[in-house]
Amino acid sequence: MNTLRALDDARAAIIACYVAMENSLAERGAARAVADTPDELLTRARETGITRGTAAARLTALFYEARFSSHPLDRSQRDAAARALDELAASLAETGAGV
Amino acid sequence: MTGDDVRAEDEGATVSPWRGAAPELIIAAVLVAVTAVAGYAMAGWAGLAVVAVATAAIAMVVLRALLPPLTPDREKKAREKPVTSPAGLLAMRKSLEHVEVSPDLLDYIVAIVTATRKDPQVQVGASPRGGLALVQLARGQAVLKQRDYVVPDDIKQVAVPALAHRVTLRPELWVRQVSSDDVVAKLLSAVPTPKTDPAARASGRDQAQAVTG
Repeated sequence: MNTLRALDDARAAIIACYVAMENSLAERGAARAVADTPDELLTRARETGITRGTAAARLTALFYEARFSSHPLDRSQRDAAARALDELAASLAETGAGV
Repeated sequence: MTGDDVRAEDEGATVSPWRGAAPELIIAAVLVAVTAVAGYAMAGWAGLAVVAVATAAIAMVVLRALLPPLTPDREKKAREKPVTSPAGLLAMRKSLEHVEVSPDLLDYIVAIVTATRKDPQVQVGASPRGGLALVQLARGQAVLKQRDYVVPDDIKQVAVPALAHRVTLRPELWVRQVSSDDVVAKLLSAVPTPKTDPAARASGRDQAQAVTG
């Protein structure tokens, strides 16, 4: 029962990380259009120069698996999502300071 | 020394167009020259006739020289190995059933199919079979991308080939050169993809249960 809850927690945590990323992208002008897929949003964010590096892509890939598959997800994937979000936040803060 | 080299290269360059040419092309070139001389020498109607007949013959020779062989090369055929068997093909089709499609994505597919029926440019929208085709094609696309679950991108990528030919536009649009490909693509850019957080409502309910539990 505890293991099951931990698995569900990992899924929910990855999705929560992605939601946080989506919100911060929206604040910077790359809001998700209703008909966008996550990859389309990622492309837009890259083209407008909001995101650089691989953090956003890594988090998007984790989100896809968490959101659309029933694969069991574990702590390492949850941690990877959290790391990607931290990295992204740091790089967004830098670009923000640059502007 | 260098001058000789340059000359040799020049010669090579002038000769090279003929090196790979089929013998028929060389014959054709000779025929052209002979025809020109003969036509000039005979002049008048006879000359014209010679040129006309020879031109047709040359066209035939050139065409045959340029056509690839009609019968496949036997050796090449022997080297082609079958990539699968009939049973393999059926197994591949069957394997699509193991590709996961989340309920949200089925809703998304239904929304796309429904949108084809409601669009004012469309006279007859896609049938339920269109939706089925879209599901199966999206699953195939997922397999090609080495996934065992479908994502919205798979659906978007195959929706035009899956649905456009199943849609009949209003007759007046034929004149305006609007294709059903365009119409389905337009719908795809408007139909909402599944929302980011699947638990937006569900989790509220779960939390309520957790509280009562």
